[in-house]
Amino acid sequence: MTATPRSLLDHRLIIVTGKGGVGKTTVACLLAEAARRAGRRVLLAETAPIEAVAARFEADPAPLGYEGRELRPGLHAIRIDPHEALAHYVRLQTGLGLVTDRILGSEPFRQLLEAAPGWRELILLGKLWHVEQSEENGRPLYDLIVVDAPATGHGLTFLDVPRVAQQAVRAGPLARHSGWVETLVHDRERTLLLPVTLPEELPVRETIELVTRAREDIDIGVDRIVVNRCPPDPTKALHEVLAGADPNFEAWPPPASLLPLVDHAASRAALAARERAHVSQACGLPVVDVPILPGGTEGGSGWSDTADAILATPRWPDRDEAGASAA
Amino acid sequence: MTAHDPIQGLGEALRNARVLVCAGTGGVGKTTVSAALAIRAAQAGRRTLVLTIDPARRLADALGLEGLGSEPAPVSLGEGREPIPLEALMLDPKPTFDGLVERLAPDAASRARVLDNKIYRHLSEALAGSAEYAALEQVREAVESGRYDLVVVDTPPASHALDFLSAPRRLRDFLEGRFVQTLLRPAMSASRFGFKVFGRSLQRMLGLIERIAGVGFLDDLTEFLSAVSDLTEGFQAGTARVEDILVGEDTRFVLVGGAHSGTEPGTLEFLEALDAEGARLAAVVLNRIAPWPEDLDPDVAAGADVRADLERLTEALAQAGSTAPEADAACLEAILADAAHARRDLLETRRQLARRVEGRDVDFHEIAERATEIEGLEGLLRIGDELVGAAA
Repeated sequence: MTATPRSLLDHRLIIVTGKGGVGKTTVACLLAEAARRAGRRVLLAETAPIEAVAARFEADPAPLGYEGRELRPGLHAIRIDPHEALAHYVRLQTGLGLVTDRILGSEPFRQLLEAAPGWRELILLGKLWHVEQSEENGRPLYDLIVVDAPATGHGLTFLDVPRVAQQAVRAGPLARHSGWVETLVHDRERTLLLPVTLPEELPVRETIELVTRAREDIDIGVDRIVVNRCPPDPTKALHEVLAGADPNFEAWPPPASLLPLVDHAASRAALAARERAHVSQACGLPVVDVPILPGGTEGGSGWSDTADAILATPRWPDRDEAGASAA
Repeated sequence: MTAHDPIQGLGEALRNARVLVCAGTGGVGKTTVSAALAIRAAQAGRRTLVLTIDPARRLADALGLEGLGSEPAPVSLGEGREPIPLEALMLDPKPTFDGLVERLAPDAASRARVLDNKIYRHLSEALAGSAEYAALEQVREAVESGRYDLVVVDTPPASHALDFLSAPRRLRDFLEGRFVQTLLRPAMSASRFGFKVFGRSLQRMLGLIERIAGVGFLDDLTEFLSAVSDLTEGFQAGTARVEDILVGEDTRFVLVGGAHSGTEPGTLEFLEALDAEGARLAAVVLNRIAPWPEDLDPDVAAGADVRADLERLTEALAQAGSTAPEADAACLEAILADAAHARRDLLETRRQLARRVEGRDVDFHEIAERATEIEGLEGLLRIGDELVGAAA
């Protein structure tokens, strides 16, 4: 259909997005780990109020915080707290440490921030822009920045905030900086939106809406869809063999116990194939499959050896699957 | 909450509660559960409204409706079924916010001042976070309209359990806070030259904002706040009434959770957050439970030493006719490991949830996963049956 998208590794900023529960954090961690293994210097930024990244890499992790720390050689992880990012930004703008802190910590300002919408998203993107621009010894501080994007009902609203901010704020540094951030969002060379979905009806429908909005409203690059938690697909032969097994055959687990699991897995896989084909067709995008990782992605569960799956060349689900979807 | 609670469990909540809020993390089927429960209440004859605030418009799809508007629309169960007194409403944040302003504004001029203000337009339209404010207003409106016996609320997939519940309080804290009150003092005209009469710290803060956001922003902000001040009383009364409804005696929460591993921690956090807010919990629903053979111990099946057993089994299966025993073995291993982990997570979730609600009248329900079926009207009816027994 179209040319194969270029490697995920050839971007500067990848924003992993999707509705809550689809596995954004898992995919962001897989990508960061795979990029690190490929020799890239990676920053993995999480944005949710409750940290989830470090626990994927370590059994009993200390919090990352705003400064973050190196989780693996070549992989630095941070949690961008909007309040800390704001303080950082304002200090950079004013050059005044103490006064700034006092103002930002004051009760009226706290109330203003509590109620004011949009600033969290703006400051988050501003921080990402700042990191993207940072250099060390004449080369970028990080080759690749992976963002576990905020899960909101709107999914993409936060990417629209720089544009809106420039309309609300006409002049001054904030308007100028919002413009820089907006440029980064639109830059196809540097920035990629990586939608994550599950091979299920509702997540797929939401992903189709999300991709449509990304193209029409946000104008950001999107070249593939990650289908997370793809279930194992048993062959018909496996069912028949298990069903026909001698009932006296001694094994653990007994074939008769496995049969309902295999049958359930088969119908789940059929549904998944249909949904995968549907999301690919409706969005006109190829997909990358991430299998269910038994045991999840908790620290020490061995998931990192499978991280390369995220770098696989995106594929177009074949016509058979698409045909099943239409039926 | 108390031993004398007149509404205990899901069945009674459907019969006697006036508001039923389905809460939980994203991706667990809240929308489906809320629609299924609303149908059951309506089937029992209660005038029911189901309200979803998810911009993905899931509910319309689940109920087989297209293009729900900003007014409640009747829901039909299709030909051959009794009509039921059920209406559905999809919330669009913008019109609701506008509607709110229109109702609260004392006159046309102040209404126009707010609606035309630059900051208001962005606040209500494009910026994240306004959906909850508007949604809760709609809940209040529906409850106070007297048109419904029961309002079932499907909550938005919040990144934080408290986002939804605390929205009215945040709004009111802001409006009652010193920042707004100071800016709104009549002597403080829209002009930034008025700032010098503020306290030093406020002056400093405003100077800082202006330095970063540019000249003009504060004028817009002050203009906005002063325009909104006409509405403040109404806002404050409204948000207080919304809070009353959320923790009121006739309101019950249903916690929905647990589609697959990874969502359970969120479900427990949600339960803690609901408790902290004083929400009254009627039931916990664990959705999409995968099958598991009761004769297998999931702990053993999830263990690494199962591999040898599977190899032995696969060998035997190869003799019995499998043409690709290696691939089949890998597939079996993946299926068994996934199912075993899901089962273990479920057992752990059940245990922790039960401990958390011990001594309270909270129902536990589980809905089996049907991998072959796309949730439509039939699916909703079936889920209703699973939750509260077959319809009379």
